[in-house]
Amino acid sequence: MQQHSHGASGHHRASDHDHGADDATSSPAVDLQIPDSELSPSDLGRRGFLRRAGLLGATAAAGSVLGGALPAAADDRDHRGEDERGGRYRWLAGDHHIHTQHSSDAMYRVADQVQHASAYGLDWMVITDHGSLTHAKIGVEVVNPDIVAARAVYEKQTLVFQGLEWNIPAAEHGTIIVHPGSNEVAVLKEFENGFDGVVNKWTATSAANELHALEGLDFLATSVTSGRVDDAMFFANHPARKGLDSPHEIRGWRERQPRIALGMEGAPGHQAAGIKAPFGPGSGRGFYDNAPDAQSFAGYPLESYITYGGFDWMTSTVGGLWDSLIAEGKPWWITANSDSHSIYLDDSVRGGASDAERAAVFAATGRYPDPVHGHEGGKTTNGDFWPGFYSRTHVGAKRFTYAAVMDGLRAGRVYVDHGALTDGVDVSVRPRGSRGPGSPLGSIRQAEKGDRLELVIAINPATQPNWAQFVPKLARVDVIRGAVTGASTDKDAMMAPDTRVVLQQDVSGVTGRIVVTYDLGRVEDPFYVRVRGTDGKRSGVGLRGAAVDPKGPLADVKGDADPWDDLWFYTNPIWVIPS
Amino acid sequence: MTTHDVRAEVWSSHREAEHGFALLDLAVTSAATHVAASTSTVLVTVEVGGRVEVLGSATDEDAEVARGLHAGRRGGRLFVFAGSAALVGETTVGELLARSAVHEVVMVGHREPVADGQRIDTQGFVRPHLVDGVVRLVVRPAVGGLVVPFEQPNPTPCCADH
Repeated sequence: MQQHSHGASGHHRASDHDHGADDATSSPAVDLQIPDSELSPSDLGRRGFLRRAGLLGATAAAGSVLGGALPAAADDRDHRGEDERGGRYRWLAGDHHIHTQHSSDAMYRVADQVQHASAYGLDWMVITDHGSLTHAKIGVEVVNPDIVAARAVYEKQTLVFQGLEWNIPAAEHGTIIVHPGSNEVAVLKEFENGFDGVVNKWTATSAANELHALEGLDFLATSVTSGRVDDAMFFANHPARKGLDSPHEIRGWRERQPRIALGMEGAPGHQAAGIKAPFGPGSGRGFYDNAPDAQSFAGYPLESYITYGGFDWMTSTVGGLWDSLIAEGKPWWITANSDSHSIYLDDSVRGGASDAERAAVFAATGRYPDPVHGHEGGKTTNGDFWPGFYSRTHVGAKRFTYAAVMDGLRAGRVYVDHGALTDGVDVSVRPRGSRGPGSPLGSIRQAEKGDRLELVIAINPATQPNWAQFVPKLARVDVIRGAVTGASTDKDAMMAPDTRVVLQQDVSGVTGRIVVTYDLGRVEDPFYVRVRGTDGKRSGVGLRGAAVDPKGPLADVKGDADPWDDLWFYTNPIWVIPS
Repeated sequence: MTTHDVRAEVWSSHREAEHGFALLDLAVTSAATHVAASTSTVLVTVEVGGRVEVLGSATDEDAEVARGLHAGRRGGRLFVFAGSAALVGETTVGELLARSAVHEVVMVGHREPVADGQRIDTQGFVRPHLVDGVVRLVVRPAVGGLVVPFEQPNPTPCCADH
């Protein structure tokens, strides 16, 4: 484990570790199954050149892993030769879903969110205030100087993106992230005014409104290709909360703009919402306590409206909707965020003398008055944690830059965890018995039919207490495997019948670094693997039965879901495709 | 769009439809809400004197679908049914089944029947569904070893001030 050192001393860096970046192809210089030590000097020199030029390695981002030529590496910006360490990653913890006083249902300054996120160890974060008439007119502009100021203060610790929580026309909310730059506000403002569902009264479920969502993604794509912003991306937030994001809408976003529409929250925020009253809100974990209504997709079952081990039904169901998306051979990444609005047990309150005054200030200035110290104690009805306190999205980035974080997100070099369950998860696919770095999360491993591969999961157990003052203990690591079946003819498909848990490894007795090696057998047909792990405190038969998931996350109990006693990590997939 | 009733209204959610129905102060055997497929609005079907009537603005086709679902006990979210008014507070699943038109109580997800002795907090809000000819109440696990009806009386609204 290497600690990187961009941060100030004392900055909490429990999650940092590196792993290899390279993928397999053929020919000595590019065949990474052959270690550097076994190459001729000329091949070694050529490999070094290719590696520095970013010409080694394939990524699944921005296209299908099936059929025709592989997509170009999406993280090309990373390869300008700066990467002297041969493409090793630093894992940067982040959160792409955070609200401030510029949201009508939130309260904190940008500075409050950034200083907490930084203190709790986040390397990157995205300010995502809600799209609204007031925000589109004023908030989107007035928040920017606060963000720019925070960037200057936390330059070496935490990257602060300006984003937006988009009211997706005809659907749920989603995070928009743009790369900082001279046009970041202009692009966000034009996007919000032009394509926000609330601003334009396009929230209702209809084919016309679904089309507006696609047009919004087109706008973001054009903003990048025209050079107005360096990069832009979109993730669907709390996707199953109210049944508003139908499977065909999710597939539609991904297909319309695969470089922009990248994934969804595997775990929603509001993770304190299920803490038992009177100690906590006593609601559903994630504030997932809704039921189907007029705008909901009628095909969703009741069980899709609640969380399982803190994770959204789309992600937590083995063989469920997420698996059906990645079984198509196309990327759709998961993340985990705080959705921070008002913090569990925080005692601050909005400034201002009355609700009427606060509302008037918000309407006139685009933001609530700054929060002030309250005098009624910590609020047990608040359901959120500070960014970095509980939910983390770990991104394998080549450098500590805005571009590198976005590249890592797009490449799917991402795993997520709750409660700082581990100090680092490193997953790769490599030839059986090899010692090479293998193919990382989010990548495609190309192999000859008959090649024997293995999945290697290396985990640094937590060594330091988390923010609830205990050292989490990983009890089990699960491998999930499914066939790649190609594009689904049914755009509303929400099952991957072939996907199941193929290994449940008890690691509770392991001391030191945990390494699980799983023999993937000889390659015949395309498939993918993904990994999850848990503290083992709440497990049971998954929604698709014991043959699919004998010990998976359980339905979170309404009003009694202690988030610290039910911890999970999930990784994104790696595909294996026979050539 | 055809208006089926002088009391036709456009309801955008189940709650709104229930509220609209309550204002009419009708005596009915049972009442259920349905989502109209063509408009994504909510209809109410009511059973009165052995007949099923449709309330709310809808196309002919959507109205007929809803009427057929209620009459055939194949679909609809019941908010008035035999014994519904008395379903308040905490009781057992067995008592709930004995005292109301609900035929079965099942756990969300796996759908196994919940034992008669299981305690249930009705929260004064029980909204079972007509499915396959039976009245089915889906529940989820709740604090204190209880179960609660899946649909909550006060769900967290979008962008709540939480």
